[in-house]
Amino acid sequence: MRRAVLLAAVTAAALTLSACTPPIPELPSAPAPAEAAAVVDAQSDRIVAETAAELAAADAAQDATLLVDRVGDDAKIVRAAEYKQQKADKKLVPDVIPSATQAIYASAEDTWPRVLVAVTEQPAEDVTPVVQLWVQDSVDDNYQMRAWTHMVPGATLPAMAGPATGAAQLPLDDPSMSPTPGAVLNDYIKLLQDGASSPLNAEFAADPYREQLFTARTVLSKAAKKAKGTYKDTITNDEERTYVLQTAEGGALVFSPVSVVSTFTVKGAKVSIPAADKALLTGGKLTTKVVHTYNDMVVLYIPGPTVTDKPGLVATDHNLVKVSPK
Amino acid sequence: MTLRTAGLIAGVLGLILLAVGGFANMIKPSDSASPTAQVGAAVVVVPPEVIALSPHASLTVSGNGQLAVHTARTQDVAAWTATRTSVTVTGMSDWDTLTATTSEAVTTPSPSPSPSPTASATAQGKTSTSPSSSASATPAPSASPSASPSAVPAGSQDIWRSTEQETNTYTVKTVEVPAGLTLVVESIDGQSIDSAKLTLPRTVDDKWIGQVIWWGVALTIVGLIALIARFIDVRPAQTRGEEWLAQRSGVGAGKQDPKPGSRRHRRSQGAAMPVAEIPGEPPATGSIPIVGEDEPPTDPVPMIALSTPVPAALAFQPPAEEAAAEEAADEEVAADEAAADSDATTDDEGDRS
Repeated sequence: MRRAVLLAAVTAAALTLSACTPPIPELPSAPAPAEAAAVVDAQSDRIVAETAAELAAADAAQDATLLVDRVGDDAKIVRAAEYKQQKADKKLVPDVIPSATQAIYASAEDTWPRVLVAVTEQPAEDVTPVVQLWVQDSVDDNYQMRAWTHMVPGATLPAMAGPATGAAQLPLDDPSMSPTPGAVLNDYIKLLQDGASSPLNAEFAADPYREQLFTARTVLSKAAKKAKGTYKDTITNDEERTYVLQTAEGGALVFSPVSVVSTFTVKGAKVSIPAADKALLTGGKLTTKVVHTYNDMVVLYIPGPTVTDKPGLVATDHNLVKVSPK
Repeated sequence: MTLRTAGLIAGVLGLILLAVGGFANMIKPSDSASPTAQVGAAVVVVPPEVIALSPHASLTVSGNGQLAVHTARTQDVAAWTATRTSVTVTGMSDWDTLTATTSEAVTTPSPSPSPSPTASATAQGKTSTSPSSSASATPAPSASPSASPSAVPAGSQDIWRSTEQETNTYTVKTVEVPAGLTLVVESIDGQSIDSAKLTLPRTVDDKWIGQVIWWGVALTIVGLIALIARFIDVRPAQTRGEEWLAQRSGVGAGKQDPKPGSRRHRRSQGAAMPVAEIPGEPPATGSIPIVGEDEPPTDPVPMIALSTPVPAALAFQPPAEEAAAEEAADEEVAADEAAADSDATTDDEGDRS
């Protein structure tokens, strides 16, 4: 009898509890973040500021070895060359890279490497804005500025996706574009290599970079020929370090490091170079041959399907980084 | 069954209801719950769906030492935790327990003794293919502060949307965490985090308890009254009351004389009839109403409908002539009255003589 009463009491208590206690809430689906880009303004502000601080410290000391975290790769090589040239010629001031930006292009990628692009304010009235390219190789790596380059006068950067979505990073052989970004880039490199007479010259919008390159090639070829020598440009790009961001209208911005190796050879004479170039001379004294190595970055704009413009160069610089006798 | 017995039964029922209500009120769950997960790792991950369980919840992560708190995209956190031992809160199994899963670090073969490759090491490795990489490879070791004793989170901080540091305990309201982002709490001095607790409101269905208690109180009061009535003998008071009613009914019916001095007695004696005082002389004027003739039948023609124009002489007469005629008439009346008075005086004097 007592057990029955006890059992009834326990049952009543359990029923009472179950009557009061609501069920545990079901796990909702994860809400979408308001900003889906890999980097939002707060992050890019921090990255840009830390890059500027590191660059400023290195500039003050004219010491590229201080560029260890936020500046690397070609950017570090080019900056080191600028320091050497400045030491040889005070008039040669390293490029001014403003820390104030007028546009940030962030990747929407979930994987690595990821890129971040900033377009700065104009450094001066007669200097075009600077396009900076950061790359994050893995989740544990910092975004590192790998290159910077000035916009081509008169060029226009296309509209890009904002931080709400981020810009898609496309592979060079992205099948959604025809021709693919890789094909357009290879054509442009081939055009640089072949010269103005190339049939590819008509496929791209005019730009001062290749005009100056072709002009210098003509002048130096004539000069070498006078000395019974030769002049040759070897232009290559590194596809592994090339990145493509999709533009808002379905086009692409291609950021590709381009190496220009200019070999000037004469016979029966001795080549000489300006003092600023001598600062970059390595590998012995110059005799009948001089090799100039340039680390450039080209930024190509490939219009989307709704735009009828030709692909064209929107930013580049011709950065001498090395002079050698071989 | 008498009324008293019914009241006692109601009282017993009330006591039972009070007991049930009180017991239920005592054992009912609280209005908030705090499901907790034991962590035992240096990193706790709270995904956005857990944070979205309740906008009124708060999350508390307890540990020892310095805690770094980050928010980031879920896919970025997944990549970040792939190389770290971490505990991810996955939901609630009941109102007291948070479910969690532990993921071990994925070890990658690396010649470096450092447990995690640094940013510069990877970057310099890439640059080694370029002709001038030898110059930039030198500073790489200096960029690996992972073994530094300072309270700085190891590795890159670039994936974090926000980051802050707390000591021992970190508490945040879930509504303050941006929607869709994952919360990561990391112990940056090597100690493990003890627990993660989510305190969230709980809607308890306890309205019926209040109703049971109030019904119990009411029925208990009824039973108490019945119980009191059981122990108090009210028959003498009842008898007196019945006698008083019977006497009053008899007086009202005229079978008994009213009590002397009472109002009923005074009324029967008639001593209290009111006396009206009437003045001896009539008022000077206007006290006698004059009843006129019957009013003429109502003219069906509207008042403003004049059939003929009113002659000017009838519509307006000079007030001077009317006043003179009235004065003349007054003087004739006064002369008549004076004559009447003198005749009366003469008659009176003749009577006296």
